[in-house]
Amino acid sequence: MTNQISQKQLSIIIGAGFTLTKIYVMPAFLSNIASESMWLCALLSIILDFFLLSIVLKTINNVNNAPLYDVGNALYTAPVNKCITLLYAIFFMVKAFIPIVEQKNSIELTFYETEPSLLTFMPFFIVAFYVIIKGFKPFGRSYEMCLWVYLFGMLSILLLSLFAGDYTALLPIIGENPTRILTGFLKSLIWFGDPIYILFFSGYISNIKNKLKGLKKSYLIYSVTTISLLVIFYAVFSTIAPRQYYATLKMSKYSIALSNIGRFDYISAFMLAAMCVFQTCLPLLFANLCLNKCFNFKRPFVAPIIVITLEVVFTVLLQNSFLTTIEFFSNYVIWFFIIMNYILPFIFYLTTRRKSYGFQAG
Amino acid sequence: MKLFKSLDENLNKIKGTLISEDVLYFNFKVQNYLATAVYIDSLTDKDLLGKLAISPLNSIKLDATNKEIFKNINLPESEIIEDFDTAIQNIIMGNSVIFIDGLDFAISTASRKPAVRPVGEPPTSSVLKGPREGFVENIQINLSLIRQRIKSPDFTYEKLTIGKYSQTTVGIVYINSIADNKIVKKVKEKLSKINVDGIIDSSYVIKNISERKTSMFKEVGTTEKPDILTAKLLEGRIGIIVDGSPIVLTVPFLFIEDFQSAEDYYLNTYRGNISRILRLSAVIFAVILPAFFVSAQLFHLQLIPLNFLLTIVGSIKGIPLSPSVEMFFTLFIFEVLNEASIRMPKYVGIAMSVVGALVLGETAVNAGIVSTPTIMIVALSGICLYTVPDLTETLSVLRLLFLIIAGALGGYGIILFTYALITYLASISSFGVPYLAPYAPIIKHDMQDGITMDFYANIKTRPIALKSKNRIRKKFND
Amino acid sequence: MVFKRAKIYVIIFIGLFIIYFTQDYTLINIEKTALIVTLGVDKTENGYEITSQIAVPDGESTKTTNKEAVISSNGKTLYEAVSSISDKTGWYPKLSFCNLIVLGESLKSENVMDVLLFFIRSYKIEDSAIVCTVKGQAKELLLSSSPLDNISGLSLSKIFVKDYENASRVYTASIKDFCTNYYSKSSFGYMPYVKTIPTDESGEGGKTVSASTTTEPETGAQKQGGEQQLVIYDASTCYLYNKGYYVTELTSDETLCLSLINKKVKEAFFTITATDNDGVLGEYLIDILKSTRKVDLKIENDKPTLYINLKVWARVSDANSTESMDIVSNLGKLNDNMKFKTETFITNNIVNVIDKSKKSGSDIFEIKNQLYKYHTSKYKKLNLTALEDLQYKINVTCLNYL
Repeated sequence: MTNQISQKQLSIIIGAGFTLTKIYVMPAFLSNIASESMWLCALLSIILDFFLLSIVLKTINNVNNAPLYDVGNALYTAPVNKCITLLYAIFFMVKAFIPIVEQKNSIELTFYETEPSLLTFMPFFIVAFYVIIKGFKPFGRSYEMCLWVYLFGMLSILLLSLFAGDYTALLPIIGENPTRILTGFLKSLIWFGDPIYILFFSGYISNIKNKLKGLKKSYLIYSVTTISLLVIFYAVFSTIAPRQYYATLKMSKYSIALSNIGRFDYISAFMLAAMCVFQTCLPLLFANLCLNKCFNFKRPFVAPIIVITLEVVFTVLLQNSFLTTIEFFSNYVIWFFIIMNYILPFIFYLTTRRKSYGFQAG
Repeated sequence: MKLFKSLDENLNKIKGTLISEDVLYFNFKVQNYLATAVYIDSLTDKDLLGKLAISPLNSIKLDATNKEIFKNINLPESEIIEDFDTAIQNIIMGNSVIFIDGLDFAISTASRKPAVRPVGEPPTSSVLKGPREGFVENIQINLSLIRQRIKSPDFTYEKLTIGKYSQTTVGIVYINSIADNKIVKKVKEKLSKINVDGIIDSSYVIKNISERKTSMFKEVGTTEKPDILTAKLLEGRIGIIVDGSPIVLTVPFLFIEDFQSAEDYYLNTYRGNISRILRLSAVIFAVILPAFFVSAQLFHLQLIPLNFLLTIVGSIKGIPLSPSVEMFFTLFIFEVLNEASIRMPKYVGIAMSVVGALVLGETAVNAGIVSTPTIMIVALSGICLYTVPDLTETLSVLRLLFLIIAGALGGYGIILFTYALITYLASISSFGVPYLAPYAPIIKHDMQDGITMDFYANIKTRPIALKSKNRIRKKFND
Repeated sequence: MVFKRAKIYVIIFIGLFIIYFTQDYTLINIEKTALIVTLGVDKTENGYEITSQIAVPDGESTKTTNKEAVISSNGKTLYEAVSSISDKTGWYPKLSFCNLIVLGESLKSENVMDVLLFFIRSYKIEDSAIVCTVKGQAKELLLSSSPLDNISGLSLSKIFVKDYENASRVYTASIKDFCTNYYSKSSFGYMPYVKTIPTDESGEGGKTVSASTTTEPETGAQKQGGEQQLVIYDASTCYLYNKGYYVTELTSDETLCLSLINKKVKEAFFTITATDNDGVLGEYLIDILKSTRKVDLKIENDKPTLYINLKVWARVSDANSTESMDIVSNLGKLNDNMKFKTETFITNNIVNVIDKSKKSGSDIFEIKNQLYKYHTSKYKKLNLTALEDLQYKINVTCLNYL
């Protein structure tokens, strides 16, 4: 199979990519709910996701890295499998919507001097279409190619802002009202559940080594990076953090080292914004995969056109009420997210654990 | 069609086919038989023909059945020809064919002597330290240059003739014990599938064997230097030599190769590393800088330090063009100057550069058509472009694309285009080898000779990406 | 297929080409952009008066000197006032280069957060911009001329540079700092208070400058024509705020001592009166070159107690009399009396600051914040009377820096 992704590339997607969708609105959103304990909400979600990752890896090993759709056909009946796959296609499109609009708003509000028209962001969809058409292999390789960009951008942001914050702002750790942490954890789940992507890579992973256990190390890197980023974010902005949407990329601007040489921190912000383009394309790739599996389109362009068109429509319609949409998502759609991200993969894991189907490796 | 016994019939047939006036017929007698040597005036060494082919024929006893008579001819590669097609083919190739009355075969003598340029330093890849020999247009000389460097029975040369009319000799060279058989097979397949009128230059071969015909990125490497080709063959690559072209092709080709220069290996490793990083930075600068400058002016003023911004605002005061149009216009002028200076004779070229760079540049600023920072950016970009000569064509197109995208969409456009470009490059491969290797996919081992290079002593094995049969490059007694 | 794809590429390229050459969507020409470097805010009867100091290039690209244009605009809200800049001048205001917000004294009785919230809400101004209050009107200060830079705002910003802050009495605050403190449990604030000093007063002989360096005589309030006196700026004093309202002012020495506790001061000067080794009384300029601090809040007898341990390394830099040989030979070594006087000087000033803080309610030592962070369980109980009940123990140790 040519459309394959390597284990190393998966590690990079986990280690670098998973952090990227959590740097725009989520830190401010969590600060608003749990203030100084906001990072604990994320930590809980990360722990939950670790269990999800373990289940996903076990499932992939159980099905012998066979394509998920084929496994579904064998385990359940074809119509049921189709329905689930269609649900996942919808889920991935909904899941992609948040990072897309976050990215759009971030670009418009922070990178552009004069707020640009929607036209400026629209080419994203052309690029996303192109990426979907190309498939997993170039996607994985692009990630590898840009790993250096990510490392430079992330490290410079972390290091430059490391000393700009007051870490006592994170005290008291639990805070006055511990239920805020649970509320934050629950509501922020719309940004988490990323290990589900790894499950959908089943059948497209080449050269599996050591039962994919190496991915857990990448997950650890992701966890440390994300928590560090959130901790630094709150230390830098403390009480005004709830207002600081899209500010994570620019928090290195307070560094003394930068004050005399101009806004060079923008370069690292641009670099990370570039990496966010990659990560935003990931759910779209899977939405395309699910649609293709579900309807078995003969022409390769049909599914990507459907996915991209729907995302464009979502973006255009909801662009001006993004925060309301986020509120709606975190209050109501969250249950859909929990079912698709956690419950269904768990059921899937249980069913694959019981029987040995002798699936053909992807 | 078989040759006739009658000389006249044979000559009439030849004359009917080769109607050009530079096909000459030299009549002489071999003992009492009439004979004619047919050759093309400009391609044949008449001295050789007379002394080493015709003279020895006079001393032999002619026998219509004795086909061994060609052995008396003191020219190697001489042979007996029995049909017209081969005879004509030989004449076209520059050999002279001797027809003797009464014999139903002819003798082809390898007396060709095409015009050959002496071996010299190629203008596109001159070095400070290192071999100065460059390939020439003659395939034999080129082969000899390689043979001088690889004296191994494993060195393999395979010959093909491509081009319906040009009948160009194309040679495949590789080291049998190193090169991957699959890649060799693929190269042969692709070459044999070429069905064109003529191969004028090796670039025609590139266009025919590339998988992506419309791509602006080359999938085949080129070199004009035998030392570079030798190094590439030793890594497990395959060379394609085309008669009539001093540019030898190498496959598989990786994107990183353009950033590597032969001199990096000849000079100090530290300097080699600096040079490679400089080249990469210069390429990024060349492509992105005009785009970045325009987008910063139009969309991201905060990226420019205040004092520099004030300088820019001061210098663009009164300029009738918008920043994007101004940059486009200046780049256009630069490209025109570049095009003109390449095509013009050298002495006029010097005057051109004075007029172009000094007069035009200075007066354009004074006349308030373009601003000084724009000229500076374009000049810097232009200089940076030439740090990697092999990529110049691609980069100049990319620079234009980046500029238009940046002017239209700003920095986010640059990001998106870069990403699309990376995805594209990551999706292509050259003869089965990922184009962006060793960075996508990451091959840690091969990175020892990537954008940076390890010390020579540490490079003990051949690149993994090239799938060579024998990975061991050297055994050091550390 | 290839042909079809090529057609799509051509269409995209043509589209981009058209946008590239027309750029008729939301773009503002760089020449029509007002690069605001300093923004002054004054309270008026009907709302706010904004004074924008705009950097204007000299016109000749080879010169690095720049001119300024000062434009005033009024509005009921800050947004209205800023927006009216473009109505008045045709220049679109760009605030991303504005790194100094100057508040006029007229805002002393107002909640300054009403002003600063505008900047925090806006994505177009960096919240790292320094904020300060000036004596008199902000507009007057921005119209003044300084020998330090052609643009008065830029010359004023020079004294707020972070590196310099560590070596001076200036107690700077950015918009972010002020807002962060405002929204904290302590809800306090501080910002430097700037006074203009004519250069003749500072001993430079009353230099004057022609106002012809300013441009745009038609628009807004401009520097007055004719000869104008050069001024320099003093920002060594500090305003304290409680819940966004001005409550008290710290003197220059108090500001310095506050800096010693709250910031990493690398170099600080002050004068003490002490006796030398021969018992002769004189004035000595003490140069503090290094300091370490430990500030702890403990609860003792259900009352918050602030422990301040400050260790300073100092030397004598200058004296008003001929220095005795032993000071010169010992490279400015402080004798016991000088050390004692130094310690007393610092302690007294810290006590003054604490007293002012207690009286005014401006929680500059972040007592409530610390209660919340380190004594969370007692926060609710002690929060309301934390400042009034505050006890403190100050221990300053002066050592020779040799």
